[in-house]
Amino acid sequence: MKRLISSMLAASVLATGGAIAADAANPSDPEEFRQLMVEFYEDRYPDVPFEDYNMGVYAIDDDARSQWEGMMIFPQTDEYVAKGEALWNEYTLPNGKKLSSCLGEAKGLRAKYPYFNEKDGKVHSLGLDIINCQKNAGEAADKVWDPKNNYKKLANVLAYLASESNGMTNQVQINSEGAKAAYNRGKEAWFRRTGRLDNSCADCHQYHGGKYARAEHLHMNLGNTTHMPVFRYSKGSMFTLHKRMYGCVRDTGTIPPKQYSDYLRDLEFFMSYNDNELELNGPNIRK
Amino acid sequence: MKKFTSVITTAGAAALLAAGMGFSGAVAAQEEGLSDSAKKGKELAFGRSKGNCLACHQIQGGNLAGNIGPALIAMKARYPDREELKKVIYDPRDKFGDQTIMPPFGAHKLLSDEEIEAITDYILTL
Ligand code: HEC
Ligand code: HEC
Repeated sequence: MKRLISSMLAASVLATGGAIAADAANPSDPEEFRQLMVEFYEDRYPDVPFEDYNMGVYAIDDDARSQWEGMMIFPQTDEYVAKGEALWNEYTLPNGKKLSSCLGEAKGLRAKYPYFNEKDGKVHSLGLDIINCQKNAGEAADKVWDPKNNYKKLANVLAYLASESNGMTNQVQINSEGAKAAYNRGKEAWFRRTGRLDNSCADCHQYHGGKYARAEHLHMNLGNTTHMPVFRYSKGSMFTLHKRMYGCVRDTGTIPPKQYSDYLRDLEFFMSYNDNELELNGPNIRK
Repeated sequence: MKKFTSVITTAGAAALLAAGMGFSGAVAAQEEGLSDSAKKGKELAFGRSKGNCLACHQIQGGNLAGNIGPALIAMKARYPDREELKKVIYDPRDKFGDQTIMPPFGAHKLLSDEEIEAITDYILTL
């Protein structure tokens, strides 16, 4: 715990470039902390405009960026979006209704997520709400689009829903003590070192953001969520945000929390709130 | 490509030399001077599964190295005391503080004591 606080301190001290009181360095107010995260990025890359942060590593990697811009002209993601759209339109719940009966229309749906639900006191992820809609309607366990049984369907539908909010502004809301607490739990997760490597998300994507791990150029601390899901060229398939978080925690040498666990939902909430004001640009492509 | 280059730098070098391909001579000569322990250390430092030092450090002869940590050069001059170097690899937090990203290879049993000895021998040749 001591180590956690001191790494957050280090983050904000670096961000502001000077000595400041401990509570100013780690404000519990989400908006204040988000501003520190923006400043951290600005200080390291003063020439990168804020609106580029949603490009992930391409915001800071000019060579790779032109290749990526080429890929985005006829993006490989189109076929996944089309598959996802067909699934969304054709699928009916066991009660005969459509998914939109629990979730609302596709247009703009992704832009409402993640959100903090005051009733159950938890962060809701779009993927999980789809899964729960199916479960609540009595769908057979092996037919539910969960990450274990039907990962591809889940990823394709999320790709389609991302495309239906593409171009909108990311506006995650924090309007209650409960939501604030969820953000702060997510913040702890971002700075918590895990596994035998003893590394945190912040180690790779903040303190050492912009450097290389072997040939991997590490993206910075913002722009983790706006473009998800993402088609990974090297793997030839679509990755959801939760699958990526799961993979990164696993790579620190530990058994990660499950996809859509409370832990990873809080982390999603923290990262998504920090990405506020950026344009949604999913689904996207990465190396 | 990555696989290809690592084959060349390790086992492949000797075979290429035997086949009379001149360009591999430099690599082989560099390997020749290494003790058995240092050779083993080099394999661990370059390999991805265990030491993986190349993920973060530039090391002479290593391809596609990361740059999260400092380049490992002139190590004997910088670490005249072998024990001190070994300690850095065993648990870098002692020297660099809790905030270091470098994993505690010994303290978290990512490497055995014997493997750390071998890597130390190799790093001291740089
Ligand atoms: C040991 C290093 C390391 C750690 C620790 C780590 N990551 Fe990553 N992560 C990577 C690498 C390498 C990539 C691929 C290059 C990139 O986009 O930065 C990546 C990619 C990602 C991506 C995809 C970015 C994109 O644009 O598609 C996300 C999201 C992400 N990481 C989140 C996290 C989170 C959340 C944590 C902590 C729970 C974490 N990472 C911890 C190394 C790490
Ligand atoms: C995840 C990144 C990472 C990995 C993997 C890593 N290191 Fe490091 N290493 C660092 C960083 C960063 C530093 C600089 C200290 C600091 O800033 O915390 C460092 C410092 C060092 C130093 C001290 C250099 C000096 O100038 O005093 C040595 C020696 C060293 N590392 C050896 C190794 C060896 C040997 C391995 C593999 C067994 C290894 N490192 C693996 C990141 C790493």
